[in-house]
Amino acid sequence: MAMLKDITLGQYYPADSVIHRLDPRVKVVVTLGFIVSLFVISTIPGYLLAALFLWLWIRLSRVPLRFMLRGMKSVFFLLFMTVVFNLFLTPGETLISWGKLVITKEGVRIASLMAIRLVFLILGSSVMTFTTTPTRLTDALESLMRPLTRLHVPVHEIAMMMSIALRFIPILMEETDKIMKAQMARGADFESGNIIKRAKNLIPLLVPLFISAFRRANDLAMAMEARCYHGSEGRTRMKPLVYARRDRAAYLLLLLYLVLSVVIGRDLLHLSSLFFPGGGV
Amino acid sequence: MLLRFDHVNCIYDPDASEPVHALTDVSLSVGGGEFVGLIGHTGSGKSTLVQHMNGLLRPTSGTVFADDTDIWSDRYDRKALRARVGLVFQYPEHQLFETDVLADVCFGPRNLGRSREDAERDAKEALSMVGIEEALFSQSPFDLSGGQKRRVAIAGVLAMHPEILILDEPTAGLDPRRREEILSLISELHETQHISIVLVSHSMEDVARYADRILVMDNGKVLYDDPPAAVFARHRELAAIGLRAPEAALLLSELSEAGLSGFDTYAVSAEDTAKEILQAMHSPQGVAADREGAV
Ligand SMILES: Nc1ncnc2c1ncn2[C@@H]1O[C@H](COP(=O)(O)OP(=O)(O)O)[C@@H](O)[C@H]1O
Ligand SMILES: [Mg+2]
Repeated sequence: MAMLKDITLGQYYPADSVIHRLDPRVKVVVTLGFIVSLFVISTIPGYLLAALFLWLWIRLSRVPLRFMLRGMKSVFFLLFMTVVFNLFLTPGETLISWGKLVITKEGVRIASLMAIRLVFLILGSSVMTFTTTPTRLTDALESLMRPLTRLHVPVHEIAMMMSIALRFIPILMEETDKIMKAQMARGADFESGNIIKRAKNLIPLLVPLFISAFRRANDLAMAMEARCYHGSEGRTRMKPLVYARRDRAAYLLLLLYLVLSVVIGRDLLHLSSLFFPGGGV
Repeated sequence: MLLRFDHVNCIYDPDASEPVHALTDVSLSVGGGEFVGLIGHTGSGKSTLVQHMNGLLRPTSGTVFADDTDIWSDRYDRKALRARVGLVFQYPEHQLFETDVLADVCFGPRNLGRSREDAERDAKEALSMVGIEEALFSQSPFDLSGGQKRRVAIAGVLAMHPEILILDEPTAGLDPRRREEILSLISELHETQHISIVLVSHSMEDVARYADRILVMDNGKVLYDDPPAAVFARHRELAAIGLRAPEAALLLSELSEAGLSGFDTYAVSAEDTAKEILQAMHSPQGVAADREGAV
């Protein structure tokens, strides 16, 4: 079950911190703003600024760094491939070469840029998921996407489906663990054999899992109906989202950060060389 | 066979913000033909404990011995252990998956490498032990009633011929009659097949009638490991950890507080309790309580 446990990306980490208490909408907007900023900045002072912002964001959340890094493990391969491809496939001034393999100066620059961006992006957005329960997160998305209802997008229904799906992930994981153990108690083996045998060995796990998922879905539908759920119309909230002072302060900080990152983070010359490598303006 | 726990600790998710210490320094032994009751309220660590007994969970520290061999030593065959230590999970009917009852019960013996004929023979034998008629063998397990499903699931473990049978809350979610049936089935298996039993429950009444020994768990620790009468005598301590001694034991202890003395044991069945009371009332020491004769 070690496999299931390693998925920390998108898991709530309970703690009492400012970031935990922030309005979930603020966290969504800050995360989006931070991601956008990562694609705007291209100078070293700009990255230092982003690093400072990220460091503050993580420290204030009180989520241990090692816990966040555990979530990085699952995307390590992606990161590795990105770096390798950029390192070897960027044309430009040769730095080192082994026969056909050539590392260029631009390659090093872009590879490290991409690596930093990816790591920052994942860490920055995992702060949001670590400090916000899935329910709050979907509440925030529903609230932020509300204008779309004018265009007849079923925002509430989408949000409800999302929150139910998220709610079921840990339940189904627990269920998988339990059924796996129950079948192992009957001598089942999920770890050895070739790929076809292994796939076949999954039947005793998957059949009960599907049955249980359907049973739970049915129960939930019943319970929602019994409590007169009828979609979004006329539905009020038990905990309406209301901005507090710290939320406004956070927005202000974000704005400051974005302005700064445009001012010191942008370098027109390098930025254009990113889009037109080799060309320059 | 004999299972022995030596200072076993279990911590779930040691890296989490709030690691769960599910077992704390557990030392005990089970097996050897005994009928052991394992009691504790929800979350006290009963399921965690029994999953250590057949090597499904590995102790965070400490050792589990099966007949004096560490079950986590290199090259120890835990699959073979799981056949000898049968574990019936809570709501075992949720693990049924085959197209017919017989095939589902064959799953265990087949996994142990037995031939199709041998497995079917074992399965039929196990099914008859739990009282499922031949007519149901070819039916889909999902068409059976709740009580029948549970028997089939128990048969699925019995068919592996365990020497120790562990049942995790086998009566959960059943009506009183099905409860009785399952409990007497377990006691029958103990008596006629000489299988050691570990019966997990949060109800004293269930366990009290059959167990030779009761383990009481609270908050990951084994508090008591004693014969039933000795455990019930501590009904106050039990109440403090959210457990209720059987009614009969409570009645006897209240009577003795009211002045009626001379009980030898904490009887469990209604008849035995009545006998104890009558005997105490007619003994010379019991005079002081004559006024309570009407109780
Ligand atoms: N797979 C698991 N992961 C994390 N914690 C668990 C897991 N299984 C049980 N626990 C926790 O361990 C404690 C003991 O649980 P359990 O052994 O199921 O108790 P019981 O069977 O007596 O109800 C509980 O606090 C429970 O929440
Ligand atoms: Mg349990």
